Amino acid sequence: MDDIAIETRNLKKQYSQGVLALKDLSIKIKRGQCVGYLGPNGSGKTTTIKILTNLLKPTSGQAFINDIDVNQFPKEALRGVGSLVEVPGIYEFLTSHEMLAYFGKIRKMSSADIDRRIKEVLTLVKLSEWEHKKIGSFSTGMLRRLAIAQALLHDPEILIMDEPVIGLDPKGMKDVRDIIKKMLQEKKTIFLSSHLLNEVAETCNDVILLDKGVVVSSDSVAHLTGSTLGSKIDVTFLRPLTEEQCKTLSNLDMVEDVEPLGDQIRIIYDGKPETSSKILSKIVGLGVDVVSFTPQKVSLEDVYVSVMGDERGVR
Amino acid sequence: MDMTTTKISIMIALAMVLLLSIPLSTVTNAQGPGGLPDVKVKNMTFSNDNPDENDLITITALVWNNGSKNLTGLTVTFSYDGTNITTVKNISVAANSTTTVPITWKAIKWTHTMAAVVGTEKAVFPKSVMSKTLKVNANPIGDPWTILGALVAVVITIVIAVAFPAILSSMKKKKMK
Amino acid sequence: MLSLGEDIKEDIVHTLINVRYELRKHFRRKRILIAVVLALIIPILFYIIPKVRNVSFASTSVAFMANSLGFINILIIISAAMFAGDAVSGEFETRTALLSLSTPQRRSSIFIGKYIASLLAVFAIIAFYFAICGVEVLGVYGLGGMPEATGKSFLLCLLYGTAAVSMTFFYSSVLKGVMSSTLLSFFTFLMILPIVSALLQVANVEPWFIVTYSAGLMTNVFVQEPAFSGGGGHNMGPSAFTQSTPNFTVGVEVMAAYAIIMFIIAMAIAVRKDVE
Repeated sequence: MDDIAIETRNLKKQYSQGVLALKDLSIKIKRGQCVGYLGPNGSGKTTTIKILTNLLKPTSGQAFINDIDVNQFPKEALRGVGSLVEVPGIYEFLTSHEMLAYFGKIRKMSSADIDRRIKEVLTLVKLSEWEHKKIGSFSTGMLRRLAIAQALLHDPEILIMDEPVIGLDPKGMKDVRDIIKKMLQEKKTIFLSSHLLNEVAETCNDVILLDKGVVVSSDSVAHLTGSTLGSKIDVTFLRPLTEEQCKTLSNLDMVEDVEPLGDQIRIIYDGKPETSSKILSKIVGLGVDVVSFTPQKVSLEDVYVSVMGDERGVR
Repeated sequence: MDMTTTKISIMIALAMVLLLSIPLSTVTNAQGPGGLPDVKVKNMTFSNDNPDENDLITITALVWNNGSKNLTGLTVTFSYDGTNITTVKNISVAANSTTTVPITWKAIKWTHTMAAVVGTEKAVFPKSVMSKTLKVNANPIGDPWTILGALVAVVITIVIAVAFPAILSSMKKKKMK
Repeated sequence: MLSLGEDIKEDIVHTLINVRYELRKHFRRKRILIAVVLALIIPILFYIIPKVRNVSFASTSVAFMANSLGFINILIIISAAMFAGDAVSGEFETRTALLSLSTPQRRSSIFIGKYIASLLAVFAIIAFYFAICGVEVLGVYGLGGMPEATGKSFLLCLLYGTAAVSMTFFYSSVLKGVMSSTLLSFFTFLMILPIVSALLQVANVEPWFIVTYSAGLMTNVFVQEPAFSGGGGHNMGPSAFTQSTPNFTVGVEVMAAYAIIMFIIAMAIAVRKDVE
């Protein structure tokens, strides 16, 4: 299928220590999409990415990139792929230019293209001044930027990234977001795992939620966060509501729950605009002074927590 | 003297000559000190004075009979560093003359003391010995082509290792089709 | 998908790229410098010390060369451990494998590239050592003084060096840490195998299959008469094993076998290793 860039079929990975990282993973990532891969620690995200980048062999099942089996024909499968997995080590004896040139030569780029693209990607990751400096002197953030530059050097059609913003300051994180958005505009396919749900929500079209090696949810971000389950309205009053007033609100049919938050209350409802309007009318009918009435969309964090459960935790 | 006496004298003389001409197992026609024959190895030569290991060389002993009697039934024993090589038997040397006694020896490496001594089957005459030093060159160990062949084998292994994964991949692709 | 010919050509190109970068690593990390200094100091000492002590050099150039090359064994082992010890284990220990192994090149190209680079580095050190010894021989014994067996000895050193590199690559592929693979390689060649070899000889078993025993050929090819000449050269009976030098052809075959078999096993392990 031409529109599927990345696919796994019944992927299973059991490590030598007996740990079953992936049970029966089957996912499909369409071309031109940015898909976030979410899950708690130990859920199998990095394992999946490592199998897709030929760093691990699956116990059973298959992984495909552009319909090519990655583990059978890795050279062909990874041709148009840029990847960044975990926190890779560095070749401290090389300069940035030399390291990037190595990867450029492996990917059969011409010398002219290598020189040009090195300047472009180093500018993109804000490391232009460090082109001819030894990597051994770089800070953690700089190493991360360099690793991202390596992934982008050959202008890949598919980008696979595992926690791309680890070690980056907020500015760096924004830069990575901008890079991803730019790539999306160029119709590239991006598959990234992250614990930073805000980052994923801002950049990704779809998310796949993974837990204990199994997909627990897979949907578009818009659909997940715009779902009727758990939408909220934060209402601020001039004076706090009385208990009776709170009880009256809770008992309304269209209200699922009311959470007091100091001088605010949070009303959980079905998320429909008409319901929101009715609730507003009811509140006004109570004769209370409303300072603000703000319907909140459900965040990805909320979806994550509701799917995974509170004990999983999230950053 | 009458004819009969003359005939008897001649017959006795002839008998004595015949008796003296029969070779005996031990020559006891002693002349020289201690009653041993005055015979010795006057010289020893080698067909190659600096052979290589395993070369076949001829060692020739020149046996000199300094006595006035012909000697027969002699032996010449050849050795190197005290180890016997061979004993040549039934050597005869006329009085006051020499004879050569050659043997063939497969040269053993390094420097040796070669010796030849005259004797009989029962004993040697120690003072007849001649010793000479012979230096044999050791054969070079191995040939460079064997080593080059081994290095080439390593290179071929590396070349096959480079090509093999591609061949395997090609076979997999054909199988899939 | 590429044709078979194009695929092999690409693998060759990838291998050569990896050779180049691995050699760059050896140069930049000053390892070659350390090995060169060792290769320089040892033979120079064999020249300087007799001069300083006013002692005459060996009576023949053969003896001089054999003495000077007495330490080539150790130099080869040190070089192999330095250049090959971290070849595979280093990539996994420092996690640079996360970058290099996720590229569109075969793992075998990376492995073979590193192997060839290690061989070239070890060969360069051996050649340098021989060059220094050669200059000394020419200086002491004149232009015609170079022993005939020098070429054979040099080739044997290259072969032994290949065996040492292959063995070190095996340890580097099997073990997780750089330190353990480097040290184990070092101790295998300097202690374990020589001890096993000596024990076998005590038990009247010729250790023909031990590569360090075959390494004796590197200097044995300089044929010299023993000091106690005049009593030697006897053929020993087959029941009394007194030979302490390896048979030439068997020795060469053993070194080649170690080089090839260990290389193949090391590669088979390395290309299948998971980056956990």
